[in-house]
Amino acid sequence: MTTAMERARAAAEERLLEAELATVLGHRRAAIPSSPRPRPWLAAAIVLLGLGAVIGTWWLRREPPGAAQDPAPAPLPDAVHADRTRDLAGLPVDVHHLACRLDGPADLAELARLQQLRRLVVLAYDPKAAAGRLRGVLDGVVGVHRGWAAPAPGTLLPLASLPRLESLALPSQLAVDGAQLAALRSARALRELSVGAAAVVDDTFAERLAALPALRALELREVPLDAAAVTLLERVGLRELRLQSCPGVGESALRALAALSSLEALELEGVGRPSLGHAPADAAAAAVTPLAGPSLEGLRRLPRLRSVRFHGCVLDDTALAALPDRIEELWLSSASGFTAEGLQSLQSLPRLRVLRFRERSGYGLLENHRIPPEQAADALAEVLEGVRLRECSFTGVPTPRLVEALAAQPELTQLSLSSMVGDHSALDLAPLGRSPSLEHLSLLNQPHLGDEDLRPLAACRTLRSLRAHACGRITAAAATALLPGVEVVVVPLDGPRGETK
Amino acid sequence: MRSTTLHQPERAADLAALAQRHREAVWRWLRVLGADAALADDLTQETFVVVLGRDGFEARDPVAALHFLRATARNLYLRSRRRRTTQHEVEAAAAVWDERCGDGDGGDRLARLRQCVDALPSRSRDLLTAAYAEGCGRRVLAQRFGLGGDGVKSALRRLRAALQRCIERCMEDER
Repeated sequence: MTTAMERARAAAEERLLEAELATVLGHRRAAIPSSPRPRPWLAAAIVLLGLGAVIGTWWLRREPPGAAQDPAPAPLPDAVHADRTRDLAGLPVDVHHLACRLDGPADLAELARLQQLRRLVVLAYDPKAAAGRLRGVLDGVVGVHRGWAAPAPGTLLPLASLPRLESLALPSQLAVDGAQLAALRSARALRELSVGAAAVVDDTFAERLAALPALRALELREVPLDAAAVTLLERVGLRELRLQSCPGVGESALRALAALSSLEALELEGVGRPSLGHAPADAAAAAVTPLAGPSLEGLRRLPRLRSVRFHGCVLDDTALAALPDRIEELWLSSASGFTAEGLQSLQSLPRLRVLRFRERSGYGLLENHRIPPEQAADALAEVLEGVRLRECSFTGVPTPRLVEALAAQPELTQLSLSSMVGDHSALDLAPLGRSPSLEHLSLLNQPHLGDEDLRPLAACRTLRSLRAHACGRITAAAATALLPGVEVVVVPLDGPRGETK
Repeated sequence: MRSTTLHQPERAADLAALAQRHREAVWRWLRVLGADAALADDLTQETFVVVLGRDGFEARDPVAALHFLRATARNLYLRSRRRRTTQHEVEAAAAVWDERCGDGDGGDRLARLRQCVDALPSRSRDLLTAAYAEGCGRRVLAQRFGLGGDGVKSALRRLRAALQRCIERCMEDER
């Protein structure tokens, strides 16, 4: 027994040093296993261990109702901007967050000296953008560097040498394929990747994505996708997928999402609406084909899905009714196609904690906008009778009924109320004085509000901050006097700087 | 003592800070228990998921927090491979951690180790970096450094032993 204990202790000492070396030398994964002893039952043990890990993981994950999450990365500072490659030389080496426009793909090598970069957004420099009114004249004459469309092998290699890079957005014009992605394999910290229209999602692309050791989130911007391409992403083990205006994403592609079992958050943009800029003769691109319930049935089979975000999508009532009842966050931002009845079906989302609703701009011009903003607000008020929100962001016409319903939410701590441009209805804040948990209130574009309208909020004992942007006659001095102990920020319509008290 | 729920933003901020502060220590603790790197990655996350769901968890006392995190990680590890880990292996791991790191996260030892690694000849440092930071396998290391497979194994073993001695010497010098 003593000998076994000594052996166990020596092994533990060894593992401690190995773990410390992994930490000190910069990465933790895939350290060499320490001196394995030959064991005849090794193969069987590996199989058993694999089974144990699968079952154990399933068991552990079914217990906590909340979404699994990574230890949160430190917050990023605001981005530093560089308009051209030549501006990179003037940047300090300790930039953490950079948005830059590069003249050509070879210029990515210039970024290798910025070893502290954590987030990088790269755009392709387009000379036409600087041409102003002459832009049209230059069509077909100048454009982005042709190298973006046919990058040399290893173009992304300089980025792999950035040890802290967590988030990377590549230019839409860069033809990212599997071969290019292979260069990022040693980018050990890379959690988020965004690629644009020139990317090619095929088998090799998915295989190389899967090899990125820390990748959690993928954003595809206008990348053509079909069901087969979506299915290929299964092996990547993504937690978050954002599909922005990707041609081809319709019912079959959305059904294929059911294969992405690790998905926790899904964001869809522009699904169901006509393609922007389609050729006049392209009737298919011009057609509105609202998302319907059967398209979203696949989402119900995603065991870890917690967040669904729609931006500018057209979806009908059956789609809203088909949302998985496990979701905790829902965005309906500039969405259309549903009626009051469809909105009311959100009551059947018992775990909903975060709701973001934004009316579609110019809704009156849209044939597929089926519900006037006042009715939408009242329908949401009904939804609130069945859910317990923590956060709500509403842009539209905040009717008295909606404000009453929000004030009655027992756990609501963060609330943002924005009126639509041109809406002249008055907002009565009095009900919010009775809100039991409200801590942070943000008011945007409420031209009729004055200081006196804030007085009822003094009764809300939990309120800690008030932000008022473009809110008519509210002044920081009066708001602070009315709401002692509340952090007040007032930003007038005509000034970028806020008065803070 | 703050009794908070998952839904409160300040608790989320506390827990985010806690995760930042302790995730490496939790990961190392799992490795000491015997988890491989990938399992340690997974269980580190699971540990913080458990903490997120626990009302009344005190995130602001670093010693208590780390103690709780270690206990949670150990339990998760034992559940993940209950049939393969013996009690004395867990006890040995705990004894090693307590002796080397005490109540803390082992930051002192890491600082010493960093000094010791910096003092190594560059080729040795390169070998360690390739092995432990890049995760190169033995065959790749052998090719890159012109060694045989056994040579890599021996070199790494010698380096680990030297580093262990160096750390202990540094710690003794400072007492």
